[in-house]
Amino acid sequence: MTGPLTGLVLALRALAFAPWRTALTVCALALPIALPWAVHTLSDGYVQGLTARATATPLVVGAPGSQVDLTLAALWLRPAPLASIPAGEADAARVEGLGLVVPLHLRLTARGAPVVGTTLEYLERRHLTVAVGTAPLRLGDATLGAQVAARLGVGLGDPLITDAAHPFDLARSQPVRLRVAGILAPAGGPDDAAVFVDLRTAWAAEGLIHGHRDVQAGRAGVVQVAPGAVEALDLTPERLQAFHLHGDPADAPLTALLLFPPDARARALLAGRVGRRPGVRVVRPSEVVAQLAGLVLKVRRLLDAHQALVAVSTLCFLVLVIGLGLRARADELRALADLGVARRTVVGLQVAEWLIIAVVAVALAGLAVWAGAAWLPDPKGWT
Amino acid sequence: MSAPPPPTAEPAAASPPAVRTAGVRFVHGHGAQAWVFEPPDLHIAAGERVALVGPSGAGKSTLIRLLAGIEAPAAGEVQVLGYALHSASAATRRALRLRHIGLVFQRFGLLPHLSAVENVRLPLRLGAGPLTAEARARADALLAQVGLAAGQHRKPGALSVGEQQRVALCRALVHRPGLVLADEPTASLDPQGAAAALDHLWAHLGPAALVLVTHDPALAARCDRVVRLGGPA
Repeated sequence: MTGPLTGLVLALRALAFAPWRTALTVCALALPIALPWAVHTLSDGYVQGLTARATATPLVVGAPGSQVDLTLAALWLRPAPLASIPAGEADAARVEGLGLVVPLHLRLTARGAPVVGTTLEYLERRHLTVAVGTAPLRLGDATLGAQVAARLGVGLGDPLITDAAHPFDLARSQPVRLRVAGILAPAGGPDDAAVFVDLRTAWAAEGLIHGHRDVQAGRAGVVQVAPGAVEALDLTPERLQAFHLHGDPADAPLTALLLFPPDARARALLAGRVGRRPGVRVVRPSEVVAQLAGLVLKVRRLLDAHQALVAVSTLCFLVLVIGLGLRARADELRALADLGVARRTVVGLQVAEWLIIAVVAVALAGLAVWAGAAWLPDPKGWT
Repeated sequence: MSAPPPPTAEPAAASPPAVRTAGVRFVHGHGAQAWVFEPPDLHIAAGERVALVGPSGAGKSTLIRLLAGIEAPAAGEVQVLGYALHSASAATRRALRLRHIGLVFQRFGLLPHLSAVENVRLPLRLGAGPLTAEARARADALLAQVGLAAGQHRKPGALSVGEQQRVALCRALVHRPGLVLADEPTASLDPQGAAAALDHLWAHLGPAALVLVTHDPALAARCDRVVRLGGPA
């Protein structure tokens, strides 16, 4: 009896007549749609991101221990209590001539950000570009990821002091005053949140490369040191000559080595040869990430089951709400039918109202998922 | 949701009566629970105003629904404005009701989400006739004539019971029906309000016939004729 436009207008007017009821119904419907949608979208994205970065890093070498900790530390620059391997392992791997070897030192932080001691090849391999300034070329230079630079509010030439890991132990390393030499362009990954320094700078910050200075005792001959009183060492060009390394550089500690063999054969050879060396283990990040992803998918299946029950519950409530709504509007609907509107048209008007609610709920859920995905860091950029 | 088909039953005569029933038998329910209603035969001329009176349960509202084509008789003939409703399809009866019959319900049946003027225009929007500028003006004029020019954009919930009743009257008259069926239209009103409502109805009924269900003898007395159900006429 009515045209589609008239039916749509009548349905919209009925919905607009009770805006709070309509909004509540839309939200009640949008939430059970958005939750599983978001879980799938985000978990898929993270698994893809994890897999992409793992695939981009064929082999990781570290001290024997948890391969998950080693992978997370070496690929996502997460601090972990890992044993170190000697720097000589990097040279040994290079001697094999089976691909690029990138050393990593991951035992320091600066104002909460991980300090990554490495070589310039890391930046090249991760396709990291310097937005302003330079890469860490000199002792004491620090090149900051975009995110950490923005968070700390530092610019070129500003000092950046490493965190004191052992403020009450004078025999351990002291904070080091780094100089911000450059800031990287955003890459959309964990590199954005890290500070990159040369390996020698990392060793200096750990107290392995060091200078000497006099310690003045007080009148009573007692030296009192509070955390705030620990003085940062300046790695300035004037003092560089005073710094030196005790012992063999090949014994200096590294957290991990990233190995980039050119092909599968080289990877197999490198894994075999390096893995045979005592005191080291070789990890294939793709296998570790596959295990982690399997865990994520198992958790997701549990969530799916839970959300299916929520959906059934929502559906029951929805049927109840529709039934009560029809009962509450029985006079109105009967009047329409009595005026001469076909029963199927009256039903169509009700269906149109619920279709509009469903469409808006799906749109709202999609918007929420999109906003959530936009707000979180893009996991696909983690390569 | 296409436009309603025009009534297919041909008018029975060149100048037909508004209502003519003969031997109507209506059965409600089934088996032992069935209720059989056999109203007296009616003949209501065009423009005639008839009151249906009788005790509750006598079948007044059922007869109104039969005359409107909402219900179909099990037997007998129901002719309204010359159209044979007893043999017409449901779609034809709906179309006749929408286009040629004005209905006033006891509880008004206004849509709460539409304004007064939108409620009045509703039969036109639903297919009772083209929603032309003239039709819109007629709806506005009807509301103005019943004193609701200022309240035409208010929703029913913001109108008094008497005002809602006047809106319902305007809706029944806006498409210039040949027959108006009013089922206790003043039941919710006080005596003054009921009289005023009937004044409005009388003033704007024009040449349409009226069948008015009422318990109020004063209102029944204003009609040309009284038909009593469930007792002597």
